[in-house]
Amino acid sequence: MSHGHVETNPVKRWLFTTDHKKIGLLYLWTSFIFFFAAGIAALLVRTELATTGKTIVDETTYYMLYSFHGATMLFLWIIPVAAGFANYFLPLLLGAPDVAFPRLNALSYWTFLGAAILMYMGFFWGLSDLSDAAQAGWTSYPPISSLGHGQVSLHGVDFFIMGIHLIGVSSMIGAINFVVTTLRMRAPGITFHNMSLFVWATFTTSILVIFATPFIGTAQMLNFMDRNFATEFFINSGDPVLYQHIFWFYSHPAVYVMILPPMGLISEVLPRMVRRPIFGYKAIAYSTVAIAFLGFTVWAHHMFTTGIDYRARLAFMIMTMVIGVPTGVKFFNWILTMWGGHLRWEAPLLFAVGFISMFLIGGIDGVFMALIPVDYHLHDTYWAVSHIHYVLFGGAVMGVFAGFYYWFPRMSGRMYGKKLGAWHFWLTMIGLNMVFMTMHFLGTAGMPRRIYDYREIYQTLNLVATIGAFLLGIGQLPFIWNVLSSLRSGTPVKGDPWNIRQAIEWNGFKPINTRDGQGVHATPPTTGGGSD
Amino acid sequence: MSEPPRDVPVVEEHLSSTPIMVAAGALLLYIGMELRGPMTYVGLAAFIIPLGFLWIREDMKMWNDKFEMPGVAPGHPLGWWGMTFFLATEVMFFASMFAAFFVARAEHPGIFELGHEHLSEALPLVTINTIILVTSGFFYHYALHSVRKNNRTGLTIGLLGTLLLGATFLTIQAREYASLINEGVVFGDGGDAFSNVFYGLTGAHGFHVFLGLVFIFILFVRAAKGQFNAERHLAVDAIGLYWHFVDLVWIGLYFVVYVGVI
Repeated sequence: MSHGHVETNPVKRWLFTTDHKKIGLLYLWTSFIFFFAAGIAALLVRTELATTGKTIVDETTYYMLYSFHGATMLFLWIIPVAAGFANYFLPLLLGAPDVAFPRLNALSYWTFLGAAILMYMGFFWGLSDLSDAAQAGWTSYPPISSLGHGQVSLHGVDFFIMGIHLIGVSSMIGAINFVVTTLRMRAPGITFHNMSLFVWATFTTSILVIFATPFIGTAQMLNFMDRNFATEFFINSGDPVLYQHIFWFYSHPAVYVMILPPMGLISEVLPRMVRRPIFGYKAIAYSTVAIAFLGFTVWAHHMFTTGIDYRARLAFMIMTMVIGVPTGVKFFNWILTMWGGHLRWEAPLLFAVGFISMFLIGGIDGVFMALIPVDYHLHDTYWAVSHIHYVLFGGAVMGVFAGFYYWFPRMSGRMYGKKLGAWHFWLTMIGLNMVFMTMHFLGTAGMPRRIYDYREIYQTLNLVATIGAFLLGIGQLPFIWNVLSSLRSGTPVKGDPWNIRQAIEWNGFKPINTRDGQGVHATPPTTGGGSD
Repeated sequence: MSEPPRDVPVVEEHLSSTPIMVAAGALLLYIGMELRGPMTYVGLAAFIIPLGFLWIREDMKMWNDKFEMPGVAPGHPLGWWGMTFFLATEVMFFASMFAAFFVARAEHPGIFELGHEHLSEALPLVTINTIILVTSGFFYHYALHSVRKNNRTGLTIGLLGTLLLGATFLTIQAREYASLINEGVVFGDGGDAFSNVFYGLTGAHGFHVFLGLVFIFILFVRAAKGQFNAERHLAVDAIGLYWHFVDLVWIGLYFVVYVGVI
């Protein structure tokens, strides 16, 4: 760290920064770019599925596209975008000068970017044709991802596997940082019983990352050895179900890593947008912890059809239904927060209510699928695709947008365009229901997921879903335009535009002078009252 | 449109070029692991040089400047907490490897019985090795105890003892590997369900011992320079947590894999 001398070169100021706000913005920009890249992949997948047989791409490209879509949305969008918010706002909400380990924080971001490059090295490997990219889906199950078993290539899957491993390292560095910051760097007066619920969510998520992520590292490492050093952990004499156990021991808690931070954003945005204090602060905080704890006891519900012991299946079914309880606690608290409030129907509240209603559908889908006999019928059908998209798009992504609109003035010093925000919400809402609700019907009718072609009877519904997907895609254009134009010429804000006196993250806020490209604010004072 | 006020204070920024270099090094390291050949060495160098020299040099500069993060509650320093949560990830990593071991053993009891016979022959030597590693833990504790009492000679002796015993442990482990390979217990090509998970588990532990020795060597050099005293010895504390953890994992390994009590 160089002290006492001010670097004027903006490139160096971004590449070498250890400031939590800049790193947060780097995370946000990068993950939003991946969001749109993976969104375009999704549109290509949907276009291919618009008609039976070949529509625009061949089979191999199709497998690559959906693998790219799934892995990017999960590992390079929804997890890092939460890290972006956490980086920017966790220290502000705690009244801390920065995170505990600023250089490790920078390392976490750059490792994330390196991992992203590594995951998709396969795309650039054989430039003549793209057939070297990973095609094994985001789960990369052996034997489809094993050498000589699937039709997948030599380097592409290896790079993908190692990319996932490296991104695990990146999230663990970030998580350790957030946990230590929350435990050790709260300003005087900020305790575990009055700190922001977004901090609670980030703290709990980070604990999940610390205890779950090593498992996906192991799964990928052992798979890498199977592919490169002729070991047999998962293939031949080994056990492919072992991979699924290790993988889901990470990946099920990981879905809470994806949903808890948006839930925290909702708990932060809702009371401010309805001008009422949050209802049941402690209930929301403790239910977050309960979800995290229970999240470790449900992983095998992804594996009901693999032939695991029926007693184990029964236990996992019960635990999966139990996890609906703390989630329900949150729902009732959010609804009662709004009850009798002064609702300001602007983009943050629209998206927050969108989150609550859409996540409700996705969540109930989940309880539904947890029933073993129902799961036998729905496993690996479009029902599962619908469920995950209601939870992760209708839920997590809506939550991210709610938080993004809410804090956009804090990050940019300017107000977003309110009309464009509303357009964004309504197009997203209609589009996502059109595409994902349709998938419910496809799933119950038995259409398997991840397939390139399908029978005639599914034609109409697939076409409807594709039209919905394009509506959803078009719905994001107002967002892009809104952000880019508001950054340049939005109305400058002088202080908290939501007029909340106790919002601690606005302490020390000074509007940005965008002319000289300074993306930093004064460090907030290290004292402050509790939020809400 | 009104012009925003221009009195934006310029924040004194802490700039560091090492994070991006270490991350680029990690990327090259992984690419090298995949492509093999000379690229492996390029990757290793690209990773180790920024991490082992630039990062530590920066740490030392901050240490010399007595840099302290403001706004931290009293108690253990941040680094101690960072190490604690890092070790939580390590616990889970070894838990996953043990899980792989137990699953493989449940599915191939015959192969594991054969494998265990090979290990039984080496059991006396491994028992001695276990005692050596545990003793190194006591030496480390002596070093930590000494630095807390401002006893610099004790610190140096304790660290040196830990280093020598740790190196002895690795040497004996390597000899044990060599004799197992002679008996046909190999990793990868020609290996079986037992040998793969055995080398995976003990190899991962051995790698952690090796890293620990590198850390302790750095501590030893710093101790010889007289950099630690009763007030400032966070590094000795934190690496101590790591070393005791590696010890504990070995005790688990010894009883589960070699003795077979569980």
